[in-house]
Amino acid sequence: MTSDPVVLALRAAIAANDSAELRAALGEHLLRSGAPREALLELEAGLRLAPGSGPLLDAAARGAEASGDPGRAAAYRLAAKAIAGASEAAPLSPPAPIPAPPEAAPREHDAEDDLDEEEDDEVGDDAPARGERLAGGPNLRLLSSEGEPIDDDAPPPVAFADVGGMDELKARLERSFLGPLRDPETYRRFGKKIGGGIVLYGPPGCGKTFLARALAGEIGARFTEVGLSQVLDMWFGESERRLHELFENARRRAPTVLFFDEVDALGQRRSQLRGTAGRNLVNQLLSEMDGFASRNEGVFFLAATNHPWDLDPALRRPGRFDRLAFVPPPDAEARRRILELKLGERPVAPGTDLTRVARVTDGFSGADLSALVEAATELAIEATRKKKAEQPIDDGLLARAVKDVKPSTRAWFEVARNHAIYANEGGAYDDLLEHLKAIKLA
Amino acid sequence: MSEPGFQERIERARAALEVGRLDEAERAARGALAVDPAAEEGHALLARVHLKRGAHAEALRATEAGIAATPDSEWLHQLRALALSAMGRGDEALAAADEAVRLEPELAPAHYVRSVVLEAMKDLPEARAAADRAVELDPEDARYHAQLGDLWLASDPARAERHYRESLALDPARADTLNNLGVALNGQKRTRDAALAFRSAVILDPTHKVAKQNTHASVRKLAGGGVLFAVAMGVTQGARIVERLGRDTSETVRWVALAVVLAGIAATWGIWFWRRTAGIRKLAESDPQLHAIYVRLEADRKAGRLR
Repeated sequence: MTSDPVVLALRAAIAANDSAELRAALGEHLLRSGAPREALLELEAGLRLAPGSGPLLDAAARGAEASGDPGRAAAYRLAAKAIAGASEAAPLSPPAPIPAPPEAAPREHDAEDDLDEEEDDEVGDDAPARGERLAGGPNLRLLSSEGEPIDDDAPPPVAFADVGGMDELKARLERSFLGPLRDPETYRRFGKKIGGGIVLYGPPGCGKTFLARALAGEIGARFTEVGLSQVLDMWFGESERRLHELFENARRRAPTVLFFDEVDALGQRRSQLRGTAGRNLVNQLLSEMDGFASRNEGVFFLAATNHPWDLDPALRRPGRFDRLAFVPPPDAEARRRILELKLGERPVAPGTDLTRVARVTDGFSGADLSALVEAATELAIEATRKKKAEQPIDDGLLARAVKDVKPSTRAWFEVARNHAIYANEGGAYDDLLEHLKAIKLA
Repeated sequence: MSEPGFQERIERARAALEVGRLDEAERAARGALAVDPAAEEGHALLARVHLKRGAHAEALRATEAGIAATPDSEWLHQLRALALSAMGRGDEALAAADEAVRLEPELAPAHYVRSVVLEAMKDLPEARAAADRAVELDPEDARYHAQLGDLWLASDPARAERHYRESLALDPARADTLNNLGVALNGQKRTRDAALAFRSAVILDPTHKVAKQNTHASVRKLAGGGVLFAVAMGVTQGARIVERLGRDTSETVRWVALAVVLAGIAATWGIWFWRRTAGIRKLAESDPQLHAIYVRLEADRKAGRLR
């Protein structure tokens, strides 16, 4: 019997309401945990519910391979390929016949499917539709007003383990966000309410979006990212309806993480807004989030912003975005990993000490580190052209680049400290204050 | 994917400007102008983006390009007046504001802009008349009342206070107006009320440096001991002068004066210390929130962050 809380939570969810998404999430988690046979069983159960699901077929292929059954893996791959081919050739037509996976049964239409098809019927043949079915399975894609799919997919293939450093923040998110989702019973027993959303805030370029994706990946939920462009689209036309559709889509596809990037553009203080469009939008957002207890079951709210102080105070009440988590600039370990990643394919001299570079780049954001690597690369190219022999990036070049690139987070902290010191109502910015003390700004 | 239309780009620019995404607003406004180069709103939104960035020359160029296409746009003349005024070209700014008023005499914003331009030119009576007209045309706009408050602040703080209060009744979230209300109250020797107004401005906008300096100064004033401090300073200065005069005449006078100087310095420091400790301690009991803000402000002052 497993003691993994994620497995237990997902099994409990499946017992309550079985779905292909939950089976896929459990299968993916088991695969990551090194239990391919168990994973394959779950993925096959998922395929019985959604025989045409590309992500499930792909995961099942990986599961079969890891279980030492290459024949079955090949069959799943073939099926996945056939479905992908069918969707590329005729995305609006029914999926092409595929070789049936073992024990696969035809999927029954449920109420959700009927709803989706009704939506399809409303639009013309050549128009991109909301809730368009692309590959036969429960692969709904949310379209923006421009017909572009909103960045929305199966659980992101990243988890907390992929986030370098930031151990303290990860532990805090585990306690306040992931813990209640993984082990709801214990939290309920201790009288802790489960729900609400979390706002990740911090200087720009420090990985808030990546962290949000990792959070979604960690709980095996789908991830719908709503960026500034989509938010601005919501400011005009049938703005409230669009926001409602966004939430409805998320509800239909639970478990899902609805991630609002630059959330202050959507939920700005109403007192700062002069026009009515923005105020209506904030009101609509509040009303959609209020459905948390009942209709939003399985929808997790995450948001990121550089200006948490611009958020409407009503958005910060319990059940909405009631928690703030400060995402600091990457720590030394995270900086070393970012440098490693950025230098990946470039010629680097053996023995280059990235730990040392990481140590002297305190306060650098991920974007600053990219700029540093670019600067060092330019220096290496210049040296190579001068010497007519390859000059790899080495300690010397990186040290010169460090002098040229200045950390961009300082300006943000100068503004943030004012809010943390003079407007820290209810200790909302306590973690920021702690960081400010550590960097001697408070 | 279809290209967004003109109206969509305009709406997007307006939304982005409202939420402070200036780059996005500029992109959308330029996109709208690419579709319709003569569009008044496209030029106006672009000019507003530049004005928000403090790029006044660019704002002027945007307004002039717009005016070339739509010479009867009072909006573009207003924006041109603001850009010119910020560039220190008062006479041209006033001409542009006058043109905006001529085009739309019943529109409050045109009179408001004219008032702002006249204020920058130090023509307060005319600026007040223009602001009065703006309030008359649209009494529900907090900015116009605040403008009147600013124009009366130096000469009649009580009247300025009334205008600021009207403005804050319409929009209580105006940190500048709260700060200026504090100045008006301070001008009426209502130090405690002033300190509370400054404190509210700081809470509303913690980045407001002037409000923070004012809060700090008003709390110190509130802590008391100011008169005694001034007396001690006066005695010290007087004794210094006597000591200088006594150098060539009487040794005794000189030594007495020197003793008074030293005693005066000691008394000044003593009073300063007493004021800081006893007065501030009293404040901690009577108004803990104001005291807490003062303590942080004092720490910022010592760290050189309050300048």
